[in-house]
Amino acid sequence: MIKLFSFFLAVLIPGASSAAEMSYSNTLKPFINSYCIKCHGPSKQKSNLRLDNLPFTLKDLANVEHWQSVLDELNQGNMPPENAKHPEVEEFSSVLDFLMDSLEKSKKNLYGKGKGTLMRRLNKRDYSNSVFDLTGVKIPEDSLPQDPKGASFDTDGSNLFMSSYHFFQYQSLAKKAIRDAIHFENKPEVRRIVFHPVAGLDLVPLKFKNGVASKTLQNYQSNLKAFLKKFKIPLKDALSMKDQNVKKKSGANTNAKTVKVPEGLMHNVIISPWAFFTKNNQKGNGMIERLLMSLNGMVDKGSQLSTGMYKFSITCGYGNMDPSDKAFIAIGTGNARKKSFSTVEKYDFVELKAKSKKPQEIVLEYYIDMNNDIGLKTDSIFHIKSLFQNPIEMTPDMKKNNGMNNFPFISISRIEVSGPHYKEWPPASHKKIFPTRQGNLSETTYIRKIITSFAKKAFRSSPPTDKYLKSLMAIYQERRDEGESMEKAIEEPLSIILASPSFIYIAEENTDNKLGYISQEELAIRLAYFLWSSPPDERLLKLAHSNKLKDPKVLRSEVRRLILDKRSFKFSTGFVEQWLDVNEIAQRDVPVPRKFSPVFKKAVKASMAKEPIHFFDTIMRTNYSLSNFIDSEFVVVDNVLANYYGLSAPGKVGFSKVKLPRNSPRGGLVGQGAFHLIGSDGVHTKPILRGAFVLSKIIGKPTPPPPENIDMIDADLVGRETAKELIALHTSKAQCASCHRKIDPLGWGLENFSAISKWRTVEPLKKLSVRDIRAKGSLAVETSGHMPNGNKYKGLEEFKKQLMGYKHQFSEALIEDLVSYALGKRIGVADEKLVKILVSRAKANDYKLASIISDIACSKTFRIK
Amino acid sequence: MGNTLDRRRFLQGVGALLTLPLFEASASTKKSSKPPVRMINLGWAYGVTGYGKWFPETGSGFDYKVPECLASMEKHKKDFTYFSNISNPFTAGGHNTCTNLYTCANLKRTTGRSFHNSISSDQLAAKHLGAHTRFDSIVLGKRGNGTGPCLSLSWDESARPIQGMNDPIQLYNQMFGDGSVSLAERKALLRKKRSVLDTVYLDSKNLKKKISRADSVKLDEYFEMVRKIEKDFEKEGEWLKIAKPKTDLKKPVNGLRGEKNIKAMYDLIMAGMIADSSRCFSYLIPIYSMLKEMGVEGSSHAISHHSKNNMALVADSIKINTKNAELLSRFIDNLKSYKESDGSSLFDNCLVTYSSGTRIAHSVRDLPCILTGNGGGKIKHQGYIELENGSNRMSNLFLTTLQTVGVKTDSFSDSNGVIKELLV
Repeated sequence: MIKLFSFFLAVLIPGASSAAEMSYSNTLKPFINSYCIKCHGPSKQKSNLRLDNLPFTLKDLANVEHWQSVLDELNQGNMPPENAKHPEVEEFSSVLDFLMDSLEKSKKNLYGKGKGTLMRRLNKRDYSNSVFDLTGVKIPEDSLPQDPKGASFDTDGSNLFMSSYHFFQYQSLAKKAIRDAIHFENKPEVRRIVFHPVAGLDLVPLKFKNGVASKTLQNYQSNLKAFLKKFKIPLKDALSMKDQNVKKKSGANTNAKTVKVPEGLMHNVIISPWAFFTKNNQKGNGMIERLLMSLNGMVDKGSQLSTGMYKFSITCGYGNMDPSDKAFIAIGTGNARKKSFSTVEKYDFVELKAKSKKPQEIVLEYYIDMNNDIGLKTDSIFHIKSLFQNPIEMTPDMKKNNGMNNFPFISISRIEVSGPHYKEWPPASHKKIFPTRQGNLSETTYIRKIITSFAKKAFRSSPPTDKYLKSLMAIYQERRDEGESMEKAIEEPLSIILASPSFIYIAEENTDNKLGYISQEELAIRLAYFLWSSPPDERLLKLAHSNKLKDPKVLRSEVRRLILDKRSFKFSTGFVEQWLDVNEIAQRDVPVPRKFSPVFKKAVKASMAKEPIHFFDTIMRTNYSLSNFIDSEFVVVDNVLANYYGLSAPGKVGFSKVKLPRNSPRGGLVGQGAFHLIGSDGVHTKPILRGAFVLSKIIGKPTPPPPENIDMIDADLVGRETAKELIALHTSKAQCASCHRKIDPLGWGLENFSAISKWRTVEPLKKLSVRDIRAKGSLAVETSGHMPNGNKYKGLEEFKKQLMGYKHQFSEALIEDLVSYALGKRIGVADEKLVKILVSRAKANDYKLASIISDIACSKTFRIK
Repeated sequence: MGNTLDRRRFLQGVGALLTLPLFEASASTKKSSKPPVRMINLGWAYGVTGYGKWFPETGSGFDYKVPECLASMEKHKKDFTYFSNISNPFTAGGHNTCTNLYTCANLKRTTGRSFHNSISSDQLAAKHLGAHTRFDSIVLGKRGNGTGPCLSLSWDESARPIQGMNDPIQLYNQMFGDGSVSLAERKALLRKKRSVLDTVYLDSKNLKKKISRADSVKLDEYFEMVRKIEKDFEKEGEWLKIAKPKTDLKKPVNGLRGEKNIKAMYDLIMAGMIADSSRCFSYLIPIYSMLKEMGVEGSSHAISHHSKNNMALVADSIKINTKNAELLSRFIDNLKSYKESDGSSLFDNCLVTYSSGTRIAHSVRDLPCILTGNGGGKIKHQGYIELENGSNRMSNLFLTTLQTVGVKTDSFSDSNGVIKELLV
């Protein structure tokens, strides 16, 4: 097989190997002759290795591996041995560079192998969406087994393996989804609850110990009185208010229920940053109070709340705020099981526009899953927080009146929660599984019908056999005979379907068709999993069944429809998460000391990780040019990021396109917080990481990870204070220099962005701690470097201009990645032709993203097995 | 069900082992005088502290100063061996943490696959020793929580990671039962589980007929999985007849995290050894939540990249390594204090390897590695020993431990001999 393949390779690109061999005789060969031949040459062959006559073909794996082990020895510093003649750094690093580059290239070709797409297991994203399509219930992707991170994307069948863990996990999660989908019970009553900060809730200032809020509340009554007195906030009648007042106030809501606060689940609400000031440090972190609530408070003990859509309405406003500051209400949703802040999974931020005297009403909707089986989400909780963006400094004015005067505050005067709201009953999910039962249908016939149609739909192109269906029916019947209800008994057979190979593999029939075209139905499936990570919809299947999808015009317009459909966001997410490795952000701790409230920090981090995905998605939907990834006149941000970047906020919750003001540095990928954060340790920037990112993602030249066992440079730091001086040490060691002379000069272009993506013109001195930095100051940021072609730049603007010159290389690399994702394999020599065609078409069409994706989906390669 | 026989034939056809040759024997050896030797593989991600804080800088044999991080091990100094210059020579990159720590696989050079591993030493041992016990092996620890890209310490014969358990209650119930289910119910449950397997097997056979040969190879993974589960069920069926053992250990309380969780797991490993639930254990120790408990701000990853430029990170690294060693020392204390039927201690009858897949940052040479336990009296501890280049492979250590626990093999992965110094 390998022999055959290398023949193929040689025929296809006759020039390639001779070029490699030519460079070999210019670089590696003389090196071997000077430094290796004495021990590994004609006279001596230490360790049975002779290098002078080892051919440098790199056409088969054996040869590649042979040279790889030579590179390993050189990289690890084992060779040349200590007592032998050693090369100069410059000579050594160019040899390492050449050898590494040649090996990477040839490995890429050898891995490609020219094979078509391998059958693959559904990845996490596919599985979750496919189950959603069948049951209307979403299994959180994180609860599914982790897919391995290979050299290609998570669409590559060769990486997606199967284990008993997968099997059991699929079955139990599927059961849970089915249970959630079926609703034979009566429509749940819509419950409404009004939280009133005075009478309905505890109102207590938090107690503090070393600046940290203590959760235990003591001396409730006296604290409350003292608190109200101190702040002179119009809550004088607080203690005299009774529950009835709340009921009266909520007016029409006859079934409104005033909550008895479950102990430990609910704290307090409103008022002032006072609580976050400590005696030693009179600075607040801007966060005001928090309301932690569990919706279980809405129902009586013992009964359970129903899954569904819940509506939140919060009436609030700010007071005494510094005009340069901003006030927010943040709603954090999460899992109540652990009852701690760390379980909040996401925050939605709404900027407050109203003062407390004329408060505004904020309305948000959440889908809440109340079931608590097998490790899925349990009781949901909400944190409602009010906070200022900036730290609050204690001013002399505030210190007056016993230190409690004129504090900025945010007040929440009313919170109403209602739900579950259903558009229809039984919900769509139920009807997906249980269609209306015809009056005279026996149970067996009815259930057989259900199981059969569920299996048929689940199995996509491969219909289930009678034997299989019979076996499922037998399992159902057995459970019925044991006394289980119809809806309980059907969980097992349906969940088996969702763990069967015809569902979990995207299988394509072995076709005798000489050209190897897959069937139209299979094409529909491929398209849908490529662009939606989901099964095809009815329209696409209909076109396939009526033989119309093969019409190039129909195909192209369908691809366009798929791209414009909202489901393609799943493609944007899946692709960008892997292409740019944005999940790395979660690994970064951002110890920004007191700069922002912890909530805000968490939110900024989360939004930063999403920004590149929304950016890609917007470019794809609007069919903009890929050049926007290098520099753009717009960003796609949410309220949190807009605020963080100093842009005008889009207002509504979620991401939207915002036009950048002139001279804003935020355009393109390199202006986005995600990369500044990945390229930092939270305090200092890491120009090397940033340089490596630019080199591999923008310039399109991936570099291998640092070879193992190279000692980290740990030189004496005296006299070396800036990042640039430190990094210059890389060139002192050939093993480092071979890559870093390409990487490091690119890292300086982004130095104006601090470790946490704030614009800066000075940098802190490297060897100092955060505290020392404050005290001792900093140096002007170094922003000049050079590109791989030798062109020099100074500052971000010039850097971006230079990067734009690599537009073509960038596009080529991105197209390769898109093809790799679409075909589910590593790109090898067999795909070179396709990539070439795609790239030249893209160039002629201003590198428009949606057109490129569409070209890939319509290509012949995408349609053959 | 009709297809059950058919599937059994399929299982036998591919040479799967369905019989349990040692099962009958096990009941009788149970009370015999010589306790079994158990293998315990412990690992954690992200290495240790440099600058002489974990590795002794000088000395040899028992003449060395126990470094700062391991101060709690001082009292056991005579009872463990501290390796210097031990590595997995074919680790790919410094980013794989513990992926091939106990498999010693060559991660990068496998044709046509971007990732490949091989069987780990505990799983190989389990194949030989598993027939004596209810569980072939017990795999603990969960991915995430500071484990980096490592999926598990334990990899099965087809090089699939085995998902570990990280919930002490679940582990307790598995080993000692929660007492709420009757035998008849458990039998019925097993029969039902089998009919599920029978059903998916039907679909696999049907699918296999339709797809190409290349895809069929992919589908074989599914068959392999069915086969593995079937074998487990087979064993479960046999063991149903025997009541789960009792233990003196109290059932762990709900929601243990960080240090308490790790302690509970160590205690359960010991209880499992006493009850002879299994003889092969692996535990990927989760360090992240423990870090947080100790008030350490940074991530495990950042801490592993400590250097003298950043003494704060070095201090954090020392903290976590010290705590980790204290827990090991406590485990050794407990093992020593339990007397087996023949008067020897549990410590005498086990072999515990304690190691991490990286040293510092990306360095994968000279791994942190400690061996403790007397291996049924077959092991002679050496204090601090430096291994010679050429024979300094992790696989040689594992070959030694495998042979010591009674596995008849003369090689493991890339081994080229046992570590003779360790043998009595």
